[in-house]
Amino acid sequence: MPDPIFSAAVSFLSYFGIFSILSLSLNLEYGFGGQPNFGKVAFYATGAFVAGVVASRLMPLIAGIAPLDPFSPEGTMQRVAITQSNPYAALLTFLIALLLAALISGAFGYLVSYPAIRIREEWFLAMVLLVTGEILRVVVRSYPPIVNGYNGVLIPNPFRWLGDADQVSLAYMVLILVIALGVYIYINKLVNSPFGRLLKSMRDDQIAATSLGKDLVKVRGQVLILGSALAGLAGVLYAYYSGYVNPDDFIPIRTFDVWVMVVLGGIANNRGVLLGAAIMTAIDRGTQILAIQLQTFGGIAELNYLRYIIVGILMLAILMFRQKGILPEKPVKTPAYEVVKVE
Amino acid sequence: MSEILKLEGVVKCYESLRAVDGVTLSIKEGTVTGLIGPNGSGKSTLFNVISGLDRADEGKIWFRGIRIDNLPPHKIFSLGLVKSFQDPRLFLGMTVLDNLLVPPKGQIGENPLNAPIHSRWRAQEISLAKKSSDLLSRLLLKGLHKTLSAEISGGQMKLLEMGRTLMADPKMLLLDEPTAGVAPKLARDIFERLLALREEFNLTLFIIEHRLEVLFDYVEYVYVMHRGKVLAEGKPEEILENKVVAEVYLGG
Amino acid sequence: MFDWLLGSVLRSILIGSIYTLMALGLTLTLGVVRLPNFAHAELITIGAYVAVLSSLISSDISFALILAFVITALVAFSCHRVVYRPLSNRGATMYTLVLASFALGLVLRYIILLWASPTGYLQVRPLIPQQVVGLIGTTVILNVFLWSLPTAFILVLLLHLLLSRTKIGKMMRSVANNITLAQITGINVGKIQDISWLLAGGLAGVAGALWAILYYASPYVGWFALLSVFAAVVLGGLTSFSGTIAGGFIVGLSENLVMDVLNRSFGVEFTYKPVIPFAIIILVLLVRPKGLVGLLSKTRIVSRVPSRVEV
Repeated sequence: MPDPIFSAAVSFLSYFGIFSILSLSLNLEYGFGGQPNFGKVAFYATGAFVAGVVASRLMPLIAGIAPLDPFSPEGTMQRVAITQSNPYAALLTFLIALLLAALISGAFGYLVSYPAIRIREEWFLAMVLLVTGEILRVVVRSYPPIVNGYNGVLIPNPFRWLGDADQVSLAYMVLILVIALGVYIYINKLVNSPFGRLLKSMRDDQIAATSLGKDLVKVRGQVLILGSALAGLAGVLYAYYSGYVNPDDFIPIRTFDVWVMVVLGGIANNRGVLLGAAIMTAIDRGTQILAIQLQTFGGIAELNYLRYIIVGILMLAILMFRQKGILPEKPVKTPAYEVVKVE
Repeated sequence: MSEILKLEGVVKCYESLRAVDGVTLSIKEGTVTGLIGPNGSGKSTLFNVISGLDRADEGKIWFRGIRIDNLPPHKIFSLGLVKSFQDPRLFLGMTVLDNLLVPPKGQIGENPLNAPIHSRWRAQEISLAKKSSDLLSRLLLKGLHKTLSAEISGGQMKLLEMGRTLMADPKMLLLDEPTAGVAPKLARDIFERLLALREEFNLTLFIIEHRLEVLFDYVEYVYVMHRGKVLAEGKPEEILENKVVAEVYLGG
Repeated sequence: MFDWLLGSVLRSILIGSIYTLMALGLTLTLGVVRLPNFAHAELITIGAYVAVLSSLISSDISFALILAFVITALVAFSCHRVVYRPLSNRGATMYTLVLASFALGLVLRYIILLWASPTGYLQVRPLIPQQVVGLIGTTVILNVFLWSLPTAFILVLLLHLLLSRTKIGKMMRSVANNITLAQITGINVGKIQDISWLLAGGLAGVAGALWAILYYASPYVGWFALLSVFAAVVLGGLTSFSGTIAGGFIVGLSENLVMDVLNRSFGVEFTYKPVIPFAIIILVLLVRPKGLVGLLSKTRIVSRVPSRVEV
């Protein structure tokens, strides 16, 4: 009998880690660089699909076993057996999935943004990115050879060899949080630098930044590669967390959720964004757990819908009454301030 | 003195309007040159074309002997040709100091691969900060470095905009109305400072200005534009005596 | 042998005419208010449900359509007054408005779900009897078919007359062209925006009602149609009147006739159908960002076209 508080806490922290990576990456793109990535879900999904492909095709090879049909029940059983008995193959596969997802999502981010970043009409870029996410989802759900179409594919947790289910989820949660912390430290270092200044100058005035010698086409490409690669990481983490890669998880509302975290917590404030991610996780998990609890008592299935209404109203409220978010932006922190202060 | 900027038959059209209509001019290194003309005569458009923000439809432009009419703005900037804007275009979400630290060329930490490793660019950052600190006090912006650039006064914005162009080690500045909206006394002050900076940094200045009475005291040569064409050119005293120029200004 | 072709063409035209109505509303808000309104989807859904609910009172189609127009127009107007206008007054950027419209759409959609799910209204048809009024080959012609095309046609014609012949239409066009200039010349911009929202909502409502009468109403109808509608608008050049009409029919044809041909000749499965409008959007963007503008006549709501950045 698993402790409900323990599993709720593990689920909360796991989701918080994943949402943090997603929202920090959008903050890099939009908060600092001013690029409206309305297709965040496309790169998140790419990460999950890469995880699905790598886990279902590559893992048997790494374990040195002849692979079975990856989408058959036998194939699924084979994967489970490997992760239960072979920590090396399970973890190596996971690591490869992370690296490949970052690479492929990053490259995809660059490719998609390539034509769009040259268009002036602002919402066109938003539109193209949104559309890209939906094309990806529809194609992957319609084309079985990738992750078995809309049936999806099961991928077992890389810590399954630990045996005890609580220990598995706990170990995986720690892994997610460590990676999320790494991403947080990395992004903080990345933006408190001349690169961060460059991003903000692009966000504040593109024409001035161009005439001051900044190659903005290059910078946009760079920031979308980085943001998309990080979203790809989050996608892998999510796929292994849920144990199941399903194209229909990656609907446009996922993108919107990430926007809520960024706008709510504080645009161009990484700590604020973590706060936004925490609030969003609380709403997401809270309504989920409540819905399940109520359902077991023959209650209301519609509670899930309430989640979206709450999130939507929260977004409207913050846009209308506190546009800067909960925590406001701070100056780019570099040694320059110490120098100027001393003199 | 050698020639730093040369234009030959430059044309820029907006649909049916020929905003710049065959401009040919040449500017010598280290000089201060004025560009005057009635509103809508194509002065600002010409500056945009020279700096690469707008592309010329016809004609050729050379800067220090290099053809620049096909180059993107950031390449032209890196050759040392820097333009300021008529209305200051500051980075309003950034502090005064951060505004000054954006333009310097070749910043190691602007590469996202170097940016997270602070030791790689720390030394460069500190030397740039010293330079900005010096500039801040000379532009009367001392003590405002932590203030958001959106929160300083209009005159301070003008000065900051000028300081931003200087941070880039320019060879030549294109200044679009550096004294617009500034009190007459301060206008002279700005020109004095500009000339002092020219001496120090060995700058070439090309200035659009409406206040002829101020401009003519400081420039060595003047071009007059009218309806996209160069109407007249010469030393200030020659321009003042030119009847056609007087007619354009008085008549319309 | 080619019976499917006739049915396919008929379906293309029916859906194309509904897309056109939806797209014209979107074009109005895009032109006059400069907002790519993602909540347009939910206006369509509301229109569809108004048709369902009105059929409980009367099975008269014209009653359903008029009611859908009025109620949806009022909903659109309230959205403008409660959300968009206060946001614009505070100097919101385009992205902020897009986010707000997405949020508003989400709230409306899930409120509808919250109501429709427990009451059994998740996928319903209005209680309007469908009668076979004729046959073309083996293709059945239903009475409801005869409603949608003329309704769409009349509404498009009325909108065209309004924009080109009336004082209000002229004012709408000048607000769309240059809002500052319009203000200087003494046009009451607020009033013109109010009217545009009423019209945009009304058109979306009628389109939704027609959809429900032909097919069904569900909380997702608007959302599913929205990307096709955006494709029609982008194809039409964003704010061109005739371009949008052509765009609506082209998207309708591509999703039905072209899809049927692809399916029969090349075995492309119908699950790929949603890719078609996306492909149109991306293709237009890459090949001809102006859309159909310039290929057709010049009745425009606004003269703004997307251009390439010169940086």
